[in-house]
Amino acid sequence: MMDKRTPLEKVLHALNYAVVTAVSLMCLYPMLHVLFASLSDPMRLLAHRGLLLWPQGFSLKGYQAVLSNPNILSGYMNTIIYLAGGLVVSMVLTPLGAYALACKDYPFRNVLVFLFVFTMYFSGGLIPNFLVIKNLGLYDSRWAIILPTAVSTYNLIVMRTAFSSVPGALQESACLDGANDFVILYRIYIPCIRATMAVVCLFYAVSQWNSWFNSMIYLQSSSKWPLQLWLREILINSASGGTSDDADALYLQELIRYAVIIVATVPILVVYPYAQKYFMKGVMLGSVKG
Amino acid sequence: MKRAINRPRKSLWARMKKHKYIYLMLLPVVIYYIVFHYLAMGGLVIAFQNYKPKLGILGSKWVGLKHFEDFLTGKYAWRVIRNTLVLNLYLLLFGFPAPIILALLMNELRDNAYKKTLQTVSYMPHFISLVVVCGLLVDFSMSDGLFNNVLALFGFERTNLLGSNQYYRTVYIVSNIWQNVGWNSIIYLASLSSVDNSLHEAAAIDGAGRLRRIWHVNIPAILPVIVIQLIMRIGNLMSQGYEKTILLYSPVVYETADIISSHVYRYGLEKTNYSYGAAVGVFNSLVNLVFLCTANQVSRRLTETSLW
Amino acid sequence: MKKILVLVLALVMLAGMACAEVAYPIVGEGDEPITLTVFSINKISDNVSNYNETAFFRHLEEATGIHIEWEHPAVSGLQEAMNLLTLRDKLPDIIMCGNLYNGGEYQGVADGCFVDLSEYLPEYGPDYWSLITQSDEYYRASANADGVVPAFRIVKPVADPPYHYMLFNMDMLAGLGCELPVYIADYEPVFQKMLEAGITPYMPPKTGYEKTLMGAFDVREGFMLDADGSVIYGQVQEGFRQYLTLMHDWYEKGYISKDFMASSNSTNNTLFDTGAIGTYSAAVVAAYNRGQKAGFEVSAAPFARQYNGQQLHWYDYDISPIVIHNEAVAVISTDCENIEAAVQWLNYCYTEAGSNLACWGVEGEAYNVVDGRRVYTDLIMNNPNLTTTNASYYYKMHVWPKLNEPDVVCHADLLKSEGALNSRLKWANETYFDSAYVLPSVTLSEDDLNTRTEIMSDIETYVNEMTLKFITGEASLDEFDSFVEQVWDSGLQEVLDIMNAAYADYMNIKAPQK
Repeated sequence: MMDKRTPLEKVLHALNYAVVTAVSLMCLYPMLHVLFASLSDPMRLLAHRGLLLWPQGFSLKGYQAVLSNPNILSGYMNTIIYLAGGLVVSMVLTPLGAYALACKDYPFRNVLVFLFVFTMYFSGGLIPNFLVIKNLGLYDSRWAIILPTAVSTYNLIVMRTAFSSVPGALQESACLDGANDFVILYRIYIPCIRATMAVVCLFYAVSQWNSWFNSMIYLQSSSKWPLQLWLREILINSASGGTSDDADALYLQELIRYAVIIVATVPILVVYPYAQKYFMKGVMLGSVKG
Repeated sequence: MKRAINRPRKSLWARMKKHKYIYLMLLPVVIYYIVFHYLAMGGLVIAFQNYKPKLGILGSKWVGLKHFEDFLTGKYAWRVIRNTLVLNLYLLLFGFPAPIILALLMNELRDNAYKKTLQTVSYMPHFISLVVVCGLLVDFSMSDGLFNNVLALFGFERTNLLGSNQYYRTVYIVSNIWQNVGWNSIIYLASLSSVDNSLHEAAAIDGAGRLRRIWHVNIPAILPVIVIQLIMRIGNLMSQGYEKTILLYSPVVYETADIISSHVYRYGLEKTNYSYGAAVGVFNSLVNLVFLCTANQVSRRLTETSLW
Repeated sequence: MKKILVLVLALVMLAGMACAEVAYPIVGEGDEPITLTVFSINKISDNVSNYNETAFFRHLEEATGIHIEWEHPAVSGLQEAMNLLTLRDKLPDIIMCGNLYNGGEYQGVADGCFVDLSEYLPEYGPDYWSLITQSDEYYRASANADGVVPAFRIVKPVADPPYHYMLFNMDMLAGLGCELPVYIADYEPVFQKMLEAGITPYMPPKTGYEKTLMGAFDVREGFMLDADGSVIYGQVQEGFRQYLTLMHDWYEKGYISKDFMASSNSTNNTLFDTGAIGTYSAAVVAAYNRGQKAGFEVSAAPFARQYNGQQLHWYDYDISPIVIHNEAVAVISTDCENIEAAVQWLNYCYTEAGSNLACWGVEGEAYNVVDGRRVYTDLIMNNPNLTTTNASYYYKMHVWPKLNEPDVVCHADLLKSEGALNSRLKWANETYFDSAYVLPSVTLSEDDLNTRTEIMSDIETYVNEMTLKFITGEASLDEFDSFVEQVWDSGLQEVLDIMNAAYADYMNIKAPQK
């Protein structure tokens, strides 16, 4: 990249760094607050107000309470199962649908887009959806967590936009070729939008990781509950300790609240850089075009 | 959409057969939507009934538009609708460009390792539970809290920010933007990363400075993404969840803080009135859909990008 | 001879029916023990995955002979789980949170989901039956006007003392040279001294409704009874104007924190513990325990009165011998194939042996008798694997439909510290407060409930907003009259008529004659 830097550009460059750094620091603070709070001695934590710049005292009781809970391991295992299953289903269905919708000029294309988008606004409600799951025989089955969220209309649209933006692509012929070229096109277009694929994959993964509501209503066996649901249970059960008169229980609840966030988020932080390298420019070697 | 002239119009079936592989690709997706969305869609009808779970949908009494009337003629209907719209409009005005600007700025950084670290840090607030974030906000908004300390530095009078109609919206909106700007910028970063380097080189050779290059190369490249995101955002103008409001508001700021969802939440506290909640939901969704279709049409005229 | 025999037989039968007793353990037909399915949250999911693993339920199974298969829904989703329960093909036999049914447990019976227990109780649940029919007061809280008894609830003949008071840091008061305020007029000088010392004197609740102070002016928040026994609405009474005047006066003088409307319970606890505020209303034992850890003495102020000799009528804690608790309203579903056994199983905890087991546990395991008093063992008080709170659900069952003894007698958490217990008992024997103005919880018909919700939803929004504005001065107290008028114009009378009718029906319920 040519590097002609006028003084103005140098100032702008420095300003750029400054602004982005400032924003990042403001975004970093709450996570640090949570981390420090989770490690603090609860009594000193509760006596503290304002910014938390380092742990107040030291205590691992929060983590002990959360991690020694026998259900955490089962929760993690289940979440990984749902994650893997969900990603496989979603990343097969979504590109198929997105590519097809990116093609134009075939009957009912706009109708289908509208019908898909419609589902982002209107839903039958809790009870009718429950009845559908039940009548399909999926109640208390892991498929009830994987299938209903298989395709997210939002992600579908994002991927479709990316397909449409591939330069010089998707002429009429591309959308008309027979079964043979189907696979070849697939092998070309998907790598073209590698960054968007990574992002959509990330969105599905995070959504599945954070979800607990469907598990709460569809899974009767607690052996199938995912991590987030158990974390909520731990927090709420310790809250009833908070209404008790035992000061220790009240303090513990505070610690648990923070420890729970760290336990739930650390895996994401660990895995994230692997997804990030696909959409942060700088590692983009090789051409974009096929 | 261009059609070649002088070509005879084929029959519908023939045209569909021509694209049969497209339909094949769409089939599993269509099945998904039918099974997991449309089969249950009939449940919307409870918005027009006095639904009781025991009687089921077929057995519950039909009341037509009664719940809609109840909602819209309520004493505070206008206030909560107005508050919802105002919050969302501010969020649109400030919260929509913020991730785009952040993505553009980040994209310009040279140092790869630093850039990636900053980006990772920027999305972290998204994962902090609302309860904790609101706990922080409540503490910082107190008369002797962090925000007031900063305000006092600039000569403003100390006042509880969440207890004041003047400041409540600001706290709500700014915290919303801050919590989501990093996460929302990811989609733009992804689009920016597919901008061909050679375009930048060509522009640089032609003498374009940094800003010019951003304006002429980067932004056009991500414009389709921006437009689609904008359309979908406009389609959410009536939506604002109740959890954050419940955690932050108090009756003294109902005038600016009470929104549709928190109002319905209080209404439903005594008894689970499914039909009322469903009716309000249908009303919201209808208005949202109207906004969405309008935005889509406008976008279709002005740009080449639209949802349909 | 034959006649005498018949007479004797008849007498024996009569005697048997009059004092029906259930013979525990209950033996089923064949070799298999009777099995019932029970839907209940697991309060100690940290320690056991299934209630059958606890000591209490093992003892219970031994005693009753009935085996339970548990279904433990997520605590965080209990209400949703209840809402979806009716969509199943078969309901669990017993549901422990029956009051969460859409519309209440009476509606559950009306809908045909739950069993009307009144048919079964005399024969299969005699201990519970004799408890709830012992007086009109007990019966009203257990059945409706049609004599339907939908559930087994906690029966607590002896009430616990109050636990929620205005709390003060005694060390702080000593330092300022003050004593605990007794009358409303005593509060100002104490507040003044606190203000001068740089402490924010008083943090009211977020809503602005301070129960004890309102009670001194004879008003309560929401629906209440007046001196004649009619239902009235507290916030439109003259006493409420007086209360608001007092609060506004204190706000103007700086005695009330400017942040009170946006604060939270945990922030208030922190402020109190660090000495930033002088007083607030909260649970006394929790604050006492926290104070002990922080190194200061916490004490409760007596319920405020305007003058010596005033009788307070607002007291509303533990005033009914029948306690409604989300996890202890046990209903039996109509899908149950052995309703008699279910009733008998639930009845056990109302027998002397059962009540003892649920309140105390097993002698030797959970408690020992020392000098004639019961003392909990280390298994409960000092267990390395169980917190005391959780132990109360493992070796005994703290919250369960049973014949209950007061917390101050048998709740392990409270008995840990003598000082904590005494802080709660401090004003327990005072006689100047009663519950004459407290409206008992009456059930409304569905239509009435809908009407009330429709009208009161907007009224409450208005009233709650205005209350805070009156206190802070944003609205002038001169406008109180027009405020009251506005409330009446919004349809309050219609709701009061409904409430009065429901209350009259409620008071007309009489226990069945023996």
